[in-house]
Order: sequence, then structure tokens, then C-alpha cells
Amino acid sequence: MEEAGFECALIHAILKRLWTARTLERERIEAIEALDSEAGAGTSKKSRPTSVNGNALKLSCELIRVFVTEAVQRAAAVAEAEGSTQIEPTHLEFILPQLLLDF
Amino acid sequence: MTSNNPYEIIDDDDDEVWIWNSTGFDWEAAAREIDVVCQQNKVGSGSGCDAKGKAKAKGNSGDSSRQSTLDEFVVTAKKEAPVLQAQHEEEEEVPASASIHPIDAEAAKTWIYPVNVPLRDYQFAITQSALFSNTLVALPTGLGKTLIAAVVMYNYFRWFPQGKIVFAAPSRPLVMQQIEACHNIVGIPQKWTIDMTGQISPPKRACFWKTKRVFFVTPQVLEKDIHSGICSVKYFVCLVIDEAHRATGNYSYCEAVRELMAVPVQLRILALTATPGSKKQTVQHVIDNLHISKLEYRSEINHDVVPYVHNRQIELIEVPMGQDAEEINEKLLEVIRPIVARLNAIGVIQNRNYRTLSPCALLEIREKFRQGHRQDLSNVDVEGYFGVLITLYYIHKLLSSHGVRPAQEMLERKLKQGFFAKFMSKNEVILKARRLMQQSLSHGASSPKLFKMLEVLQDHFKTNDPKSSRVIIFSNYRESVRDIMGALGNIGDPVRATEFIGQSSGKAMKGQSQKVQQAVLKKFRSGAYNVIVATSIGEEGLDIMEVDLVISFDANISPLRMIQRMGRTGRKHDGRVDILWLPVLCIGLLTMRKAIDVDGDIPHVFKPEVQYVELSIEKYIPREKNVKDVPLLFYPSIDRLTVAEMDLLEMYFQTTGENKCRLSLIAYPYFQTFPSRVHKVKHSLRTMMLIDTMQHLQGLETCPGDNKTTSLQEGPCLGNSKPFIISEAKHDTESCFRDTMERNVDTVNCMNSDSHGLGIQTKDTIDLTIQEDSTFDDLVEHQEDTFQGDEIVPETPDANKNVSNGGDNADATANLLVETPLFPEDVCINGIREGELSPRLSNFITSGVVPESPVDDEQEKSRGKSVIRDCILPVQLHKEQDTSPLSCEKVVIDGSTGKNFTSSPVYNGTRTPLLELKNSAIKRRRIIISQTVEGHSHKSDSSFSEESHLGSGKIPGTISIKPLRKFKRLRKAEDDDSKVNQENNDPTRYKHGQGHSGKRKSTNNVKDFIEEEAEVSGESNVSSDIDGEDDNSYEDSFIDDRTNPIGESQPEVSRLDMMAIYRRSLLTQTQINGGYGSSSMFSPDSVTNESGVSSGKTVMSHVNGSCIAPEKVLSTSSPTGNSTSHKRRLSFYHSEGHLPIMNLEQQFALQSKKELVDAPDFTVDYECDDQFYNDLDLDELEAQAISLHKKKLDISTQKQDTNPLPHSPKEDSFWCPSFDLGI
Repeated sequence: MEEAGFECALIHAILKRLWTARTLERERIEAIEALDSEAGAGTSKKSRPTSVNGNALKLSCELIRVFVTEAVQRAAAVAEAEGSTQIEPTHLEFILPQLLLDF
Repeated sequence: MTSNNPYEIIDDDDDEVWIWNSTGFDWEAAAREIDVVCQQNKVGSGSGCDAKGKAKAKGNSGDSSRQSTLDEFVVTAKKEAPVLQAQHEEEEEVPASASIHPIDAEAAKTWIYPVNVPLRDYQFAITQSALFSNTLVALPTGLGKTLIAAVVMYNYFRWFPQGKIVFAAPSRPLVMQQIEACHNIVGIPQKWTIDMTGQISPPKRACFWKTKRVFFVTPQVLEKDIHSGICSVKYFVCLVIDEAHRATGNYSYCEAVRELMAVPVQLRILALTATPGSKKQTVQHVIDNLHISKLEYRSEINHDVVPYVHNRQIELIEVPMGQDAEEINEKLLEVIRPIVARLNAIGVIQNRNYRTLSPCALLEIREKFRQGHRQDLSNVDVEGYFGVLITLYYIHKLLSSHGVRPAQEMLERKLKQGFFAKFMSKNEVILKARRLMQQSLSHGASSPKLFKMLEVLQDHFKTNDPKSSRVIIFSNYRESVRDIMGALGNIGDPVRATEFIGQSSGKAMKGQSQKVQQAVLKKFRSGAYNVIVATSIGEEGLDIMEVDLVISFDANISPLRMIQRMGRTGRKHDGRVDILWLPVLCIGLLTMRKAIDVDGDIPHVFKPEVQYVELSIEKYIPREKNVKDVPLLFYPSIDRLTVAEMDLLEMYFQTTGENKCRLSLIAYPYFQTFPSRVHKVKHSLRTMMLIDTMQHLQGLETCPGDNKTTSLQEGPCLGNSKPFIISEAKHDTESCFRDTMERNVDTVNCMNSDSHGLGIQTKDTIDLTIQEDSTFDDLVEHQEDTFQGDEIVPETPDANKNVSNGGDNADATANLLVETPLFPEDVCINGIREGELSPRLSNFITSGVVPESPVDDEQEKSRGKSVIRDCILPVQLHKEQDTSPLSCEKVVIDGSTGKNFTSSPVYNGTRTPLLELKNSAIKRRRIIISQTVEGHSHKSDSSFSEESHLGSGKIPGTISIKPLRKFKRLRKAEDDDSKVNQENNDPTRYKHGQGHSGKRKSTNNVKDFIEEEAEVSGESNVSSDIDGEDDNSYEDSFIDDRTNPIGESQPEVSRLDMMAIYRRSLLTQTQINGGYGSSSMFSPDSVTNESGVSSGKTVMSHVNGSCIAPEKVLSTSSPTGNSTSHKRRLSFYHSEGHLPIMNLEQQFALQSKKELVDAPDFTVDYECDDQFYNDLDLDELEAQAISLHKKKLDISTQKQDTNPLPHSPKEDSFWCPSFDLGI
């Protein structure tokens, strides 16, 4: 009954996006800060986007899978209790705080 | 059984087993002695029958012989027999060390035999005897010795919960193989097992020796660790020795066992081997060394073994020497002949055919010669001859068995140095031979054996699937291994060969590290290689099922090794052994006879019965030190994301900008009061805490608060106020009952997790749970019961205090103390709100008094318990006590607004001391209150006058308390103003506090406004509150606030704008106030927060933050949407530790005087280290104020429906970005 997990590629793409965004952000800030001090700020190792190793990524996928599954299941339970057949954002909000604390 | 029986058996032993023979010990006498002792004991204890006693005697004899050296037998036997009797619960082997190895009596009733694998009779029988005596198991290869060992180990593992079991195998690959095999057979939990080889550093091993119970070690490790004492020898209960035939001489096995016996340790020894030895003598040595008392021998022709023996076809392929080799050989012999002749002449060597001499024989002869003629000077020559001869014969042997190359290399080496070089370098014949060798090598001609071998291999792989078939080629020398590898490399395809050699690095070639060896075996098993060329390292123990051909490249090795080599095949199905060029294979198959079957009756008080068990075995997970990084296999797959998918990603995960849609965490506070249904992931501790807190917050808190007060009251006013208490209690129960019910339901749900959490959590949490429990009880029982439960509750705060005291958290304690006083007020408020006024008027008045007394009481308690607490406290307490009664009287007398003020002084009095104790927290409170004071005073003047007598009386009481404080605080606040500025500088630290304070400010202001315009409040909301639908009302208001901000909020607005907006909002907050008042939910919540706070967890702080946030929102009115949103934003950020704090501070600085007053709050916050608690306190105050407002509203019948809150649609709330989760 175990559903298929997330594809590593997808998670990786998402993570990469986030990291890139963060890196860009950081670089921007750094650029502002270090405008006059240093020129080649972007080349430093520090500002390279975070990368992930294979095992970590697999693990992340699994974690996300569990998280999403749990979220959906709980929300579904709420939705069911309400008699609706569709999970609405509200249902998610019902369970969200506890869910977040559970993880 | 007759009494003679034991003797007979022992006689048998005498006859059959050399070990006993050799010592020449009088067994009969010993046995008789033991028998007598046992008999006596038996009679004395009156347990057991004769037969048993005899059995015991016999067992004893075996026992002692096993446990001590034979020489010591007499002594030990005498000593041990009584001991054994005395210790009824002991295994036979445990008596002396009973205290060390506690035995699991229940487990010892049975011994378990797994039926996961098909049962084999001989294995079962051997196991049975191995369990109860030291046994040497001699079982042909491939018949499952490991299973026996595993079962024995498992049973000892069961019987002795603390015993340690050691399995020793001679090489690391074997260790690894055995640990896995044992696990797969009996499934000893992996957390108890460990494999230890020399690669693990001694300190680490020491750690493992302590923590693990089943050890798979190499004998060297065992010996070393026993010697150095880092393994707790005395816990050993079982030692399994694999390949026990090695236990001769000074091998580690012997050393280890010797050391163990010297301790002495009572342990079962189980030795396993396929080849105990080719001579009786060696077998006996093994038995001696390992203290074996029983020999279990099965040969392949034993009837119970036969069915399991796979046919093993042995082929001797005689390969004639090659032409070249023949010639060279002749030359060598030519060289040898004269030397032998010379030695012959001297008489050192008996007339012998020089062709049949071997290096070994020569060595022996030389030994003899040396012994005979020690001083003889002519020895020098003879010695030289011997040396030369030995070398020559060695070369000769190499040549014949391994081909030209090794021989040539050897010769070259020898010719370079030493006596041989001196002696032979001028010998023409040897030089000729040398030349011949070089010639043949230059031709590339290698040994015909190699060709033959390749032939055999190719034939083999023609008839067998190269994928499933495995071949092992044994060779004695690494040189020939290399040759073979070279030859195999040429034939290519079906043969995937690798070498498997030891780790010592010789001159010629480097050895394989053990890691490499492991890898080789792994690949061999998996089929990556189907041929391995091994030296002697591969001979023993390797259990590779699929091997169906063993090629022995050289045959002139010991028969024992030959058997071992052959044992590598035919394990699962029939196998074949090809022995190349076997001159004479005289495998003197062991002439051992099966040791007499001493019948299996064992003198245990526990007679374990066999129990066949199908063991469920978890998958074996090999221990890996460093998990190798899995290469990112998915990289290519990244391209698999289609464009559409990428677009989707783009939509939801924008590289820049914020996520638009956010789920609200605080939209449904009510739903957080009970655990949501879970799917697979259970609720965490933090969730349970959240639930607790939310329960308190959601109005359920009234119960605990009331309870506390009642209990507190009981303490101080025990004699006087009993009736009052009861009434109060009723009151409480009534009001709370509904809530309790709800909560109880929840509690029931949570119970599991709570109780589960108990162990793990800190004491604080435990206290919390206690509360829960009490409520639970309430639910189950009736109101009275509830009351009792409530009584219990009060204890929790005290407990908390204690805990905090104990835990050095002076701050925490102080906070708690400060908090406690607040409860009473709330209680009063609650009571006022809910109670029917007339009957309880007097009660209320008393209650007005009550709050103070409880405080004192609590303080006293805390004082008594907190040893470290300030000494000042008690004094202050006394003062307070003094003042409190006075105030109480006043209150009673007045019953009007005037009371308020009178009572308030009292409070101040109490507070002040506390404040001194805890400056920071108190200050803050004061300030807050001070702000509210204005409002309160207004209230009391205007709105209260309108209220009914009773109500006014009560309310004022509470209010009055506040005003007093306020005044003080006001003063303080002003004082603090200067400080505020200074402290504004470090924003990061106090983010939290700031955020809260900001909220507070607003709320306070709001309150003020409210008080001024008390009528503004919406009645509808109030009514809803009364109905207990606080949630809804609250939500509504909440929603309103939120919705507006969402649309309009612009966090980026310049500060100035914000300021303006903020001021405006402050001015316009009246409406909000109404809403706020209506949302009484929160005020109680704050109270509960305190209790939650007592748990002192960071999680709580988060919760608080979240709870508070909504309040803020509420406070800010919809019209001032922008500013509100702004503020809220800021506060949120604060709580999350974001940068915006700075803005806030600046704003504050800019603010008007009123705001300045607020600012002081901030400063106060800064001063106190735990903003956390302070915040809570503030919340309380707010809550109180709010509740007051509510009451007012309630009392003052509906005047205005103008509340903005109701207007807002509920649905909007869902999408309000209330909280930056940072998801």
C-alpha cells in the first residue's frame, strides 16, 4: 500500500530552486555590503548554492513523502468528519499546527 | 539407572577419549566422591530421584574436567559439587559465579531450537550436548557447524540476560561471515551483537565489550583484550571457537582460553572444526587446550549425516612435468646427489634415495644431527650442506608443483646471498639449470599444470553456467597465484577471476587488505567474479554455497588443509575437487572415534526442555562504518522533468518573491485543543503541549484557575471559609464543567501520549500531565469528584515551583510566584462573570480577599521548598500577609467601588515584595497595568456605577487591584523610559519581548479607549462569550482584522507612514476594544498560558507567541487596517527573529507620550531575561482587563451592534496570512 515516493529529481529541482534563490539573495546583500571592498564576491565558495548528496536527497524525499502523506491523511480525516469529499485548505489548516509540531 | 552407571560411563570415557587417558587420573574415585556428595545433598533436599542424583554426579565430573585442568580436577571436583547443590537455580556451569551471571529462570526452562531451517538430527543432537558440556564438534565441512554454534549461543543469550557470548573465528572474513550466518539462523538482535577485529581500536572495543553481549571476534582480539582486561571476562558465559583445530601451541585460542581459565571463568566452550587433527596427539592437544569434555564427531559416513552430504567427486589429475621442467629437475637432482652422498658418507643421512627426500625430512634430520653433535667443529660444513640441500629441495619442490617461474625466482634469490650463493655460485650444474630456467621462461612456457587447469576450467564452464557456478583455485604460493591469474586473464570471457590472498605484503607482491578481501568475497558471492584464486586464506570456513569446483593447484600439503580445501565445495549441491598432480595424497583421515555418548541427562536444577521455535529474524544489516555516498543517480533524470513540470515548479516555487498562498496556523485555535486524528505519524510531545496549552487557552482554563484558587483558599482560610470554599467549588465546577467535559474527551485521547511522554518529559511536563489526569478523573466521576480533582490540581503549581527551584531556575521560580497571584484575580473575574450574583455576593467578597491569601500561601510554600530562594522573600510574605487580611476586611465592609481602591493597596503590597524579588517581571506587569489603570479608573467611575450592585462590587474588587498596580507601574514606567532608549539598541535579543510588548501596547491603549467608551462594545459578542462560543466570536473578530491587513498591508511602507497609521490606529482602537472585550477567549487563555509556561519549554513560548499574535490582531481595528497589518507584521517578525524589529523600535521612539508610556514596557522587557514569562504575565493582565470589559459589556445590555468584527465574513480568515510559518 506504500505509495510511490517523490522523485528525487523533483525534490532536487525544488531544493535547487530554493537554494538558488537564497544564494541570489545572499549575493545581493553581500554585493551591497561589499560593494567597495571586494569585487569577485560571487566566486567565493561561500556563495555557491548548496548542494545535496545522494543519500540526503533520498532521505529528504522520504521525509517529504511521509509528511505529505500524513498531512493529506489527516486533512482527509477532517474533511470526512465534515462530510465533504474534498480536502479544502481549511481542512489543512485544522491539522496544520499539530502536524508541524509532529515533524 | 543403577548407581554403577556413572562409573561405567566414565570408564568408557577413559577408554575412548585420550584426554582422560593421558592424565591417568583416577576417574572412578573422583566420580565416587562426587556421587556421595550429591547423594547426600539429594537426600537432604529431598528433591529429585536417584537417577537424577547420579546424573548430577556424572555431570559434575564432566563439568569439573571441563572447567579446570585435569590436574586440578580432584580439588575442584570436591569444591564444586556442594556449591552446585547449593545453588539451585544455576546452570551446571554457573555455580561458582552465580552472582555474576543471573540466570533467567523462566527462559532456562527451555532451550530453543529454531526450525527456520530444516531440522537435522545430528545437528540437534550435537546442539543438545553442546549446550550442557564443553564440546568439540568435529563435523565434516559444509554440514552446518555454524548452526550448532548459533543455537547454543542463542540459548545462552536467553538464559543469561547479562552474560556475554563470544564467537571467535580465525580471520576477519570468517568473522563477518559468521556474524551474518548466526544472525540469519537465530536472529539475535543486532543491537546486541558486534563484530570486532583488530581494525577497531582498543578503546572502542572496550566500549563495545561493555555495551554489547554477543561478540564475533578474531582470536587475536580476544586474546589481547582478555590480556589487557578491557573485556569483562567474568561476564562470559559462552565461548565458541571456530576452526578449533588451530588451537594448538601458542595460538591465540589457547592463550585466550588459558587466561579465561586462570580467572577462573565459568563458561561453556564450544569448539567447531571439520578437521580436528590428523593424529590423535593433535586432537588431544586441541581438547586439552580448550578444556573440552565431550567430543561430538560425525564423519561423512555416519548414518545421520549421510543424507546431507553432497556428493563430492574427487579427481586426481596427474600432470606430467613439462619438458623444460623435467630437464631442470634433472639438473637440480644432479646438484643434489653429490651433497646427499657426502652427508650419507658422514652418516648423517641414512642411505636413502635422494629423490624422495623433502625439505621437511631434511629439517628433521638436521634437528637430530644438531642435537647429537653440538660441539663438533665439522658441523659447520654439515650445516652448510644441510642448508644447501634444503634450499635445493625446496626449489625442486617449487619446480615440480608450481612450475619454473617460482623455482627460478627462488633460485635467483638464493644465489644472491648467503651460504648457498657462496657454495653454489661456482657449481656449473646449477648455473646450467639456471640458464635452462631462464630459457624456458623466455619462451613463455609455463607449467603444464596451468594448461591443464585452464582446460579443466573451460570444460567446467562449458557444462556449468558461468553465472551460477563458482570455482576456487587453491595454490600454496602467491607466486603461483600470480601465474594462475596471468593464465586466466588470457582465456577471457566466461572466467572472471580474481585473487584472494592474505594481507601480509611480501617482497614480490603486495597483499590484499582485509577490506579488499571482503570486497572480493562479496563480489564472488554475488557473481561478479566466478573464479577466485586463493592461497591458504581461502581454505577455512568460507561458506560460499555455489562453489562447485575446487581446483587444488598443489597437492603436497597437509591432509588437513586438503580436507578444508575440499570442504569449500559440495556445500549446497554436488561438487567436484580436482587435485592437480597429486603424487601421494595420504589423507590420514582422522582415526577418531566418536566419543562415547554420555547420555544426555544433565544435572541441572533447570532442565531445559527443547522448544522448537520458528524465529522471526530481521534482515541482517551489515555494520558499515562509513556509509558510502550513493552517487547522484538522479542527475540524468533531472532532464526528465518535462517543460510542463518545470512550469509548475516555476509557479509554485518562484525563485524570487514570496509565496503567495499561506495557510494559517491560527485560524482554528479550537481545533488545537484536542489531538487531531493521525495517520501514521504519532503526535509529538510538542503537539501534546500545544494541545494542553490550547485547552487552557480555549476557556477550559477556567477550571484549573478556579481549582487553584479554591485549593489555595482552602489552605489559608481552612477554618473560616469552608462554606465559602464549597460554594466556590460548586461555582467552579458549574462553570467549568462543560469545558472540563470537552477537555476530558480530549484528554482521554491524549492520555496515551501524555503518559507516554511522562517518562521522557521533564518534571514540568509531568506536572502538566497531572493536571490533565485530574481533569480526566473529573470527567469520569461526578461533580464532587471533579471538585476533588480540582483540589489535586492546585498542587501542580507548587510542584512546578519546586521543580524550578530544584533546577536552579531562579528566574522561573520567580515568575511562577508572580504568576500565581494573578490566578486569584482571574478566578474572581470568572466567578463574577458566571456566578449568580446575589447568593454569592458575600462569597465574592471573600473571594476578593481570597486571591491575596492564596498568593501568600503559595509564596510560603515556595519559600519552604526553595531552599536557595532569597531570604528576603519570607519577610515580604509576612508583610503581605499582614496587609492582606486588612484589605480583606475592608473589602467586605465596603462592597462598593470604594472597595476597589482599598483592596488594591493590598495587592500592591503583595506585589511589591515580589517585584523586588523579581524586578524585571514585576516591573513589566506594573507598567502594563498602569496603562490599563487609566482605563480601569474610568470604567469604575462610569460603567461600573451602572452595573448592578453585586456585579459592581465584585468587578471593582478585581479592578481595584489593577489600578493600584498601575499607579506604581506608571511611576516605574516613567523611570524606565530612559532605560528604554538604551535598550532599544539591541534588537535581536529581545525580539520576542518586543513583539509582545508592541501588542500589549496596542491592547492597552485599546483598553483605555474601551474604558472611556465602554458603551461601544458589541453586546452580541459578549453574549456569545457567555454562551461559550467564545471561539466563534473570537474567530470572527480575528478574521476581520486579518482580512483587512491582507489586502492592504504593505510591510515596506516607510516608517513615517507607519507611525502615522499607528497613531491613528491607536486613536481608533475603541472599536477594537469592543471586539477585544468580546473575545474573552484569550484572556483566560493567557491564564492558561501561565500554567503552560510552568512547563518551561521553548515550545510553549512559540505557542504563546502565536496565541498572542491573534490578540494583537484583534486589538487593532479593521479601519486601521494598514497600520494594523504593519504592526502585526512586525510583531510576527519579532517572534520569528527577523530584521524588522528595528522599525518597530524606531516607531516607538517616535510615538507620542502615551506611546512612550508603552515604550517603558519594552524596556522592562529587556531588563528581564526571560521575556517569555513576562509576556505571559502581560497576557494575563490583558486577559483580566479583557474579561472585565466583557463583563461590562455583558452587564450593559446591548447598546451597539456597531462592532466591526461581526461584519467580516468567516471565510476570509482561511486565507489570511496570519503567520509567517516560514514554510
